[in-house]
Amino acid sequence: MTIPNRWGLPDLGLGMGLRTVHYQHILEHWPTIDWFEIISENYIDTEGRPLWFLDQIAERYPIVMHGVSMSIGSTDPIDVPFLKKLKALAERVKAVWLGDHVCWTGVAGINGHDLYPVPYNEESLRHMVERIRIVQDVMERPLVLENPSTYLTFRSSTISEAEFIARMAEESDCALLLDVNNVYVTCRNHDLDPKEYLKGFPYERVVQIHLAGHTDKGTHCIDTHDDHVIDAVWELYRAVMTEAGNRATLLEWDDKIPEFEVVHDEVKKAERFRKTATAAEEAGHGI
Amino acid sequence: MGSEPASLDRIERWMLAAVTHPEGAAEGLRGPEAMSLIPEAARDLEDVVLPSANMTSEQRLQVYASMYYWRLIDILFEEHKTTHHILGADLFCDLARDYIHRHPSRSKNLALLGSSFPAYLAEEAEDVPHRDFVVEVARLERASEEVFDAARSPSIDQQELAAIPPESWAEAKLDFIPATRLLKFNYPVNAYVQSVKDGEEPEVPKPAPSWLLIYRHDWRVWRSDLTRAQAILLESLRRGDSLGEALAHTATQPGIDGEALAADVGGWFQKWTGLDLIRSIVV
Repeated sequence: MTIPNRWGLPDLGLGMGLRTVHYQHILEHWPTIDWFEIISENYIDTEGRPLWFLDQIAERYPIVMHGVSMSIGSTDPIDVPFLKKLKALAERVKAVWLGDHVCWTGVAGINGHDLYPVPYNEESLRHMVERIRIVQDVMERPLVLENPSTYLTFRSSTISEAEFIARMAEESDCALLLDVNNVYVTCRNHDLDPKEYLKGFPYERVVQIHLAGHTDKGTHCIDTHDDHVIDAVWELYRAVMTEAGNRATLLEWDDKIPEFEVVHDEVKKAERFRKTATAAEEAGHGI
Repeated sequence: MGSEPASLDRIERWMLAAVTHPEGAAEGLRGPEAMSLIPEAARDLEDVVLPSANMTSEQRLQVYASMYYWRLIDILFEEHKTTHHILGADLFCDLARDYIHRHPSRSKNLALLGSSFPAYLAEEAEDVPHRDFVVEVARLERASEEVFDAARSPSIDQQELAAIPPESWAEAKLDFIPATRLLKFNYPVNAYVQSVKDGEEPEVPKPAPSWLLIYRHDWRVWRSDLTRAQAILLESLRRGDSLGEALAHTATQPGIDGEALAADVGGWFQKWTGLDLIRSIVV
């Protein structure tokens, strides 16, 4: 079956993260790809070449904005001027939706430029729900928040990450981006079973899926986005597609980025899993 | 174990203090800032961060500490490749780490991370070989980044230029587009930077004054060497002097040939307007 998302946001198909090394290729070939996702901050506070490329690409492809600096879990005040810049960019590129991560990136005015975890407990939940509501009011649209890759667990966590995210989304009425690679990485790092993590995940709030490669250090995994998607993550993707139905799917490749076609071919692999989901739908059952 | 859990605010401040310590998380959680927030973590980190099956609590915290410096040093490296070339990887990384520690990012915009790096190299960093030259290279690289991101602006077109009455030119004041920087050096910095970009291994040059215009044209950043006369004229114009004042100021500088200046200036303006460097002319 297909679980429709709560806002009726479209399944954009298969997209790629827009990266500078591919700008020229895109403008020369206008490849057949369904959509692009941008790192929002790369196009804010700059009026140079990246924005020039983006303006042209946004005329031909749907654009989704995905940020890394909203710091929705931080105890610092909400950066309203930053939100206004995000909103202006969203209007400029006609962003289909925009989002960030379930994390904090800095505090006390200092930005660590990383996705830091919060303790998953009632205090964090109340804090984040309140801030998401404020941000959504400013942005006048639902925020699409992604489950992060995390590398530590706070003793003060009292609920699981999946439950935290589900309650956060429900209470703030935000949308979700489910990064299945992050599910894999986080579960490896916290000795969890990814299938257990996904049980009961609120798919009615999921509007987008992320796929990526990671680095397995043996003792833990790092979400490096520098390689192909591993089979175990593809299996998780298949399970999600089968359970939730097709969702806009995006491949992230941010380091050691190969040629456009290599990245494009990687995301096209998702097509077979989406077809499987369709077949399951037709048969009237999930897994 | 068993103490009251720290508040979210305290946890965040503590974690950032621990993972941004230049000597790593183990030192960071014993540093004064982290100790002032969650002192019990220094005695028993498991009281705050749980271990996993494969990693201790400290190792897990160190994952974030390693990524912090790795990521931000990489940003500085991308911006300062010639500075890195002169200093070598080890010294560059040591200095970059010290810079990041002293000047942590206070912006969501990573392009601003290196905004004080040249000043740091000039005034704060210890034991920088060829310091004066290195600082000038870093200034060039930083200015290039600023020009890359600078605000867009329309430039004056030929019709507008032609509409300015000849008798008004002496009073004309020129406004340059934001994507320009004028730099004066005590070393031939641009030649050195280009040599490194070309894959050569140049020696650190002897002092010799040089002037450079960095500008954006067709969405690319360009570097153009200037003569001393060009640089004095441009500096005067950018200060807000009228064209007549700027020319007079330039012509009276020691070593400037006034006749040659008068003969050359038309060609310079043709070039600068052709490159869309002038936003407007007020007469």
